[in-house]
Amino acid sequence: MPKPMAIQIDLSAINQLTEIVIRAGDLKASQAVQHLIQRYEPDDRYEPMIYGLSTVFRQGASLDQLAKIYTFPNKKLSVSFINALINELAQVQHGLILYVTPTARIADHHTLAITYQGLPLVSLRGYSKSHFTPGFSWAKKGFPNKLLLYPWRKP
Amino acid sequence: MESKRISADFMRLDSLPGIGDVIYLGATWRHPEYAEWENEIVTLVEEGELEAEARLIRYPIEGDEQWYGVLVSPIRDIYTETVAS
Repeated sequence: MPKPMAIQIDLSAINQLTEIVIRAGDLKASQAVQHLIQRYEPDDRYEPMIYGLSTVFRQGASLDQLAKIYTFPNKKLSVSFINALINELAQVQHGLILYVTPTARIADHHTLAITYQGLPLVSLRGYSKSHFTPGFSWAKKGFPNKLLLYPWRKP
Repeated sequence: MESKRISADFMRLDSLPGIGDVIYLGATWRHPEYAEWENEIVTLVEEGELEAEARLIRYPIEGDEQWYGVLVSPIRDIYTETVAS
């Protein structure tokens, strides 16, 4: 049976200023950059295969709503407005794609892929902390620093 | 003996029919080294965040074999608040 093609969210059709994407865990933690690089993984449930980070996105949903719907075991959630991510990546000539990749437990699971010259990156391995340059400050200045941390804790 | 520690993304917590709670660990072609611990109990670790014991299994999805960790322990919170400088 042929694998399905992963559907992309049309980011031009959503309100990028208010829509958010979240990821379980603390992206301000000291090892967060390394974790993001490691967690940027392929998902071969789809054809062509996609690569990216596990995130949660639901159009119109607030952080509170998502935190209640999905009981992540992590103590903290990390969140960013779509607009902030797009702008941050654009500053370093990168872009993003949000694929719809639901799982049995997380219906709003999406895979966040980073693009360069219009093509999705298959790995962030080249973006290790020691290789950060002014041309790619996303991981250092973008994700960990500009993502707002929501002090949500397990009840 | 301490079990093998495998780095995992707990955002990939999922459920498989007839098996239960699992964490997706990637395609078998991507991690051939896991075969050494197939059907054994390993410790899945999200560094600085979470860990849990799981039985490492292969499971076919869309015709391809994938690695999953079937949770056999509660997920433990190992979070320590450290902020990048």
